[in-house]
This record gives sequence, C-alpha cells and structure tokens, in this order.
Amino acid sequence: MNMSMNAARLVSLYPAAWRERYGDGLTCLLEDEGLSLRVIADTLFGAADAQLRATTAHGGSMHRFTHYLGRSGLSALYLLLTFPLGIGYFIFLVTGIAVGVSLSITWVGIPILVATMLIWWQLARMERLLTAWMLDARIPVIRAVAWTEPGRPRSIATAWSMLKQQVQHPTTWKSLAYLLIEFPFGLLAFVVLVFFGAFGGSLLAMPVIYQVTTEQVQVTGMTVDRWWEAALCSLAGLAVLALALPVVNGLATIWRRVAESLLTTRTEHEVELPAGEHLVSA
Amino acid sequence: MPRGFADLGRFSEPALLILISLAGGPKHGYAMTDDIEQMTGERLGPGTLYGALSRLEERGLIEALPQEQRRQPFRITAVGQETLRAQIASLEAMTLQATRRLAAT
Repeated sequence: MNMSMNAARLVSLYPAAWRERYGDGLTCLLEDEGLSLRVIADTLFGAADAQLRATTAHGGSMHRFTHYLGRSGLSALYLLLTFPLGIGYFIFLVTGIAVGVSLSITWVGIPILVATMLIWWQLARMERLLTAWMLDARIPVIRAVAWTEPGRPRSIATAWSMLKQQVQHPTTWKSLAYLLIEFPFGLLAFVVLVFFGAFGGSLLAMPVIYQVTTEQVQVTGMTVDRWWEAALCSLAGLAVLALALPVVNGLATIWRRVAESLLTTRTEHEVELPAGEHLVSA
Repeated sequence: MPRGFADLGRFSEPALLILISLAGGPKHGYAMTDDIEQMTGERLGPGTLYGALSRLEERGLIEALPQEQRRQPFRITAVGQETLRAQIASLEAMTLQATRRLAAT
C-alpha cells in the first residue's frame, strides 16, 4: 500500500498527457521493481525528461511562448515602421492632391490627380502585403481594375471607362483614408514604443550604466549608488519590457482591424479566401 | 529507409534493446526489463525504459496492446522490425570491421 502510494507520487511528476498514456504501466513497473534509490533517481530523470519534452514540443508552453515573443517582435517592428511610412504617405498624398486640385483649372491638374490615385492604390497594395505578413491580417484577394485587356487595343474610350471604375471602386477611397490615418497612428505608436523601449531598456541596462558612468545616476528622483539598487532597476526594467508586450500587441490588433476593414470592400470585385489563407494581390 | 536512432540521444541504446526484446514477442515493462537484463547483464531503470518506450511509440516502431490488469504490454510493428534489421546490419558491418582490424595488428 505504502509502496504503491509512493510509486503513484513519483508518476505524478510526469506531465498529465504523458500520465494518461503511460501512467498505469509505469506505476505497475515501479511496484514490481521496488523503490530502490537507483529506481527513484532514474524515474526522477525520466519525469524531468518528459516535462522538458512536453514544454518544448510543438504546441507546448515553451513553444507557445517563443511564438508569442516572435509575433510581438514582428508587431513592434511594424508599429515602428508606421511612423516613417505614415509621414511619407501623408506628405505624398497632401502634396499630390493639393497640387492636382489647384492646377485642375488649367487641366494639368487632372493627370496629376489620376497619377496620385494610381500610386496610392499601389501603396495600399503594399500595405496589404505588409499587414498580412507582419500583423497576420486576413485580407481577401482584390481584383484590381484592369487598365488593359488582352486582345483589345488601348484606346481613349477603354481608358476612360477603366478610370471611372477605379474612381467608383470603394476600396480606392477607403485606402486613401487608411493611408492618411497611418500618420497620426504611427506617431502614437512611435511615442508609446520609444517610451517603453527607452525607459525599460535603460532600467534594464542600469548595472552597466552604473559601472561605466562617473556621474550620479538618478531614477525618478532616487539616486542609484549601490550595486543592488542597480540590480533592482534591472528587474524593474524587465517588468516594464514585459508590460510593453501586451501594449504592443494591443496596438497591433487595433491596426490590423483598421487594415482589415479599410483595405478591402465586400463587393463583387473580391474573392473570399478560405479561412486561414490570406493571399493578397491586386 | 527506416529512421535510425541517431536523434534519440541517450535513449538510443535502450531503444535498440527494447526492439530486440520485443522482436521475441510482446512484453510489458517488467518482462522487458528482465529480458534485457538477461541479454546485457544490466537492468534498465523504469524512467529510462518508459522514456525510450514513449519515443519508440511516437515513431511508430512499437505499439501498445490492451492493458492486462494495469500492466501495459507492447509489441514491435512492421516499421520497427525494418528499423531493427537496418540497425543490426550496420552493427554487423561495424563488428566485422573491428574484427578485421584487430586481426591485422
């Protein structure tokens, strides 16, 4: 009775899924073998091995954690990109539209406006790829307006009808809105990321800063002048960086939703992909 | 070509011994340990035995039979027999080489 209880306790150190499969067999074997020191040590090693395998296996907690870190890193990279990209889009669009509109009295403005529109369509296309890759956005395939048709000679009439289609395509205008709001969003994301990065990073590096610098180091009014204070700062830095992960993922989720709703329109122009696929072309 | 044991690390030798033991017929853990002790003079620990058994089953080299009063018997599969043959062949080649070299000295 005592022996089987101890055997059961040893087996309970194995992961639940493993016990489900082999628990009975191993318990019986332990009872038959008798719990010598050698047997106990060997079983402890076996349990540690099974636990390690369970956490590092595909779908195990270690695997999920590294996957989460990887996704967060990619999201953070994208968020950092939105700032320069947003500024670039904003300057290009405001300049293109302003110049085009003001020159449209002389007709020179019209081709400028058309070119601006075609370029922002291409920019939206690039954003579809970026958000699908880096934020895991699920965006259905969009069939672009065909400016040339195989077998039909280019003519003013077909170009005119294509232009009308492009202007009437709701995604053209939603893409414009998307590109314009990327600037304020990018600014916000940049500020948040720099705050967390700089604050958390410098706290984390405090033991190094404390060693290298000859000046007094102050953190929120308190002077760091002992090694253990620096070590404590390092721990706090780790906590700040850990806190940044959900913030980064939250921002990324918001922007993913924006991309998913603004970079597409549910019309007959689109082909819905099966779930899990997010091929993008336009 | 059956997959070898190279990636089993410290479980590769127990795995080979288990396959040899099961090649003689289905057995549960205790019977396997006894059988292997008779072959090698050493008793495998329960943790080592089950570590190797779970890996062998994952690879489809052995399979579990219905439990007999909580004891869990296993038997070798066709893939397991193939793998064992390949392992034995490479061991034989190695033995032959070693014998030749020793004879030459």
